[in-house]
Amino acid sequence: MDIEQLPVLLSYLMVVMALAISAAVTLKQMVRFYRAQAWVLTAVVLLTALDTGREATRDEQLAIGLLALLPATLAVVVPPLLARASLARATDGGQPERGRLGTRARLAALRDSLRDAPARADLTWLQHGHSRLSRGLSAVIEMILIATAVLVAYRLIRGTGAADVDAALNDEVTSLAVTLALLLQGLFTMGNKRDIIAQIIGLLVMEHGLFLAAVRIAPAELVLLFTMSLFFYALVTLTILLWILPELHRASSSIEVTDNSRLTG
Amino acid sequence: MDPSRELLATLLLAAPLAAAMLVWLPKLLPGRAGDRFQDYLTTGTSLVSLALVLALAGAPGEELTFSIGYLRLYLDSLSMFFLLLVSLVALVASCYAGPCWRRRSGTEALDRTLFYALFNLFHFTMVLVPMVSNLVVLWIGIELTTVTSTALVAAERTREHFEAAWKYIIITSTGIIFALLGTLFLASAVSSGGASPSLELPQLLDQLKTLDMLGRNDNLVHLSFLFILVGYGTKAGIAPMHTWLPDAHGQAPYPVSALLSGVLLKCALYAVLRFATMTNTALGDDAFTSHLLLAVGLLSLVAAIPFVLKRNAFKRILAYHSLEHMGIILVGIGIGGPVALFGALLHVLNHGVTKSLMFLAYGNVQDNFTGQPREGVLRAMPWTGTCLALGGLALVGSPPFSIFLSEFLILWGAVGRAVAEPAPWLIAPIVVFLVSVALIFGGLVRHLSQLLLGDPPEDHRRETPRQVVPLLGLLAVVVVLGVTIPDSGPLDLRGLIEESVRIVSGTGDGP
Repeated sequence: MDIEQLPVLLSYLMVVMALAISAAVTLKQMVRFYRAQAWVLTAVVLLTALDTGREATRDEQLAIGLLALLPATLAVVVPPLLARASLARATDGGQPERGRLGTRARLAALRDSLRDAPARADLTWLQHGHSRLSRGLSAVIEMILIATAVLVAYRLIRGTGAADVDAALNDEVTSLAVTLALLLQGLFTMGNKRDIIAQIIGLLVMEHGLFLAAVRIAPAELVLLFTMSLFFYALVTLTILLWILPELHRASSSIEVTDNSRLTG
Repeated sequence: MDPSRELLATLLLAAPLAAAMLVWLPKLLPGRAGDRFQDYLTTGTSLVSLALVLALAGAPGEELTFSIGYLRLYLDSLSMFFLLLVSLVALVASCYAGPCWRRRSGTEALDRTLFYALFNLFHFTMVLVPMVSNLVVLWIGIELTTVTSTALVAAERTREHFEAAWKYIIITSTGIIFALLGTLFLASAVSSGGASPSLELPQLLDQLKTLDMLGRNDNLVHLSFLFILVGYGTKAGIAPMHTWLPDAHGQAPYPVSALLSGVLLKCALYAVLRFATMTNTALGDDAFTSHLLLAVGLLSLVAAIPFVLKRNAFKRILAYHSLEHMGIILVGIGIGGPVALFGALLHVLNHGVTKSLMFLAYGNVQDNFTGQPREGVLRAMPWTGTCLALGGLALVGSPPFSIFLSEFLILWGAVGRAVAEPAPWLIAPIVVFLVSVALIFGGLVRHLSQLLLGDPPEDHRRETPRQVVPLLGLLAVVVVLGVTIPDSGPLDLRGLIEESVRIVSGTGDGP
């Protein structure tokens, strides 16, 4: 097998993992699959950076290589942050002292709350992660979504009028299909799961699709720019994981979507 | 290139950012002096911003391109028009930031200094969006508005506020992923046409003009605009991606609600407009974007009706009204042509100003009443009540207020096109438009009459001149814009909008 085909094969694996995330019955499984998917994405990004066959300059390849830091960092920090958010009710209480804490003390408190958080969140994670739809129906819908992504990707590339599809174009079709599939699968997971932690994992799956597009589909001369934008997107992810999610759990004492739907009408 | 205009534009961008940092100084000042410093600094910055916009907008049609470090900026009449709206609403909203937050001291709410810093940062991000030249930086700007405004929506730190912030950030962040992909697809379309793509607005538009000869990929351009519409449309509160809108607008502190509804939705609309222009240029006609915008515009109009008619919290009703008005604007853009486009752009300004007036006036009522205000506002707070009554009438499109004029122009444009080209896709929107506007008129008038009439509770506070004067200023704008569109004096608004119409319809020299 040609080494240049490895990123393509690994991107297929990302779709399989998104399927596994959606089919998982507990949050623990979902987080595990998410982490695996993030590492696979890291590998795809690194392999793309090392691919000498691409029409990218050295700087652009360096930028792609740097981007690998982002999914790798997310693979490391997201599970403890999700665990912290899952435990928010038990650990944070009313937080009466929060206003008086200095920055250093807050960072120390954050570090403490993240330490062994996944282990402490085990029970919560085993109790949550259920889907609204049955596993069979979910699987059928996911297959339809993946087929749609593939069809759209092929139709888009055919629009170029290229009669004979060469290897580079084939790579682009595959990457586009995987990107669209991850977007749709993430979106479906967000709608199908019953708790807010699982919804965030759906959003993170979509984010992986965005990473893949920036690295594999963006024109080489624009990779640097799109890479930069992803670091800003990570800002939003961190805002959610570090602040909104734990605070929402603390305020409502529940991670169930139904318990966090008071605002209606 | 005019260095003095560059300096003005740099100051316009730097002022709110500097204010966001300077509000931390009062931590060193004792007692109330610090509070006053933050008040004056924030309002003063917004006033300076408005003055800078008026100075910059003095010559419609002139473009400005320059860089601050790596950040490339591009200002044309369309940018100036949106900057005018941002600065005007930010100025009036900033007058209420202090009073609004003072009444929340001692609660779980965010620290006052942090609130002011976020408020100014939010202002900065909304100034940034219409000024940037690069489409990815535009996306980053919109993303930054999400981060800052989410913190402001959740600022009161109760369960409901976090729920609203959660829905807001989750839905808009999901949508914004599509917007970046749409940008990427547009770049890929240029790339597949054989050109080396640039994402700088003026250059990209030039490249798209020649794309036809190079062999364009229409499918990619179509998908690009579809993704842009989903992405930025989510942020613009367009149906069916509008579900965050009533929660975020309903729960945010009222000066922030005014900014969200009056300005933030329009910033996302600005992005949609830019991409619509580029898509039309790439495809060689506007049929694709027109039909799509018309469809989502009508959907937004219709989706708002049941929620405005039913019994609901007043701020949520105002939020659903934003959905209706975004629908009206999109219908105007979708119909196209100089008259409807002029009406749609004028409606952007009119809705921004009128909706801010309503949110701020209702905020006054909330501050002065104990508990949820239900009735008797006119007797308890005659000035604020009058502003609410007249603002409400303006909002539903009654003459002689500004929204009547812009809605009339859109309708006129639609009828004109339908007469020239009698097609079902042009006649149906006119019918839906008229029916929706009539139903929503009835809905809001009913809600307003319940709120304004009757006996007030006895323990309400009296309104102060500080609460009323900024509202009267906004009301004056609403009335003046209903009678005339200024084309002389400090601002040639008519010229600015006409030039913006030329840019959006692709008949101007610039993008």
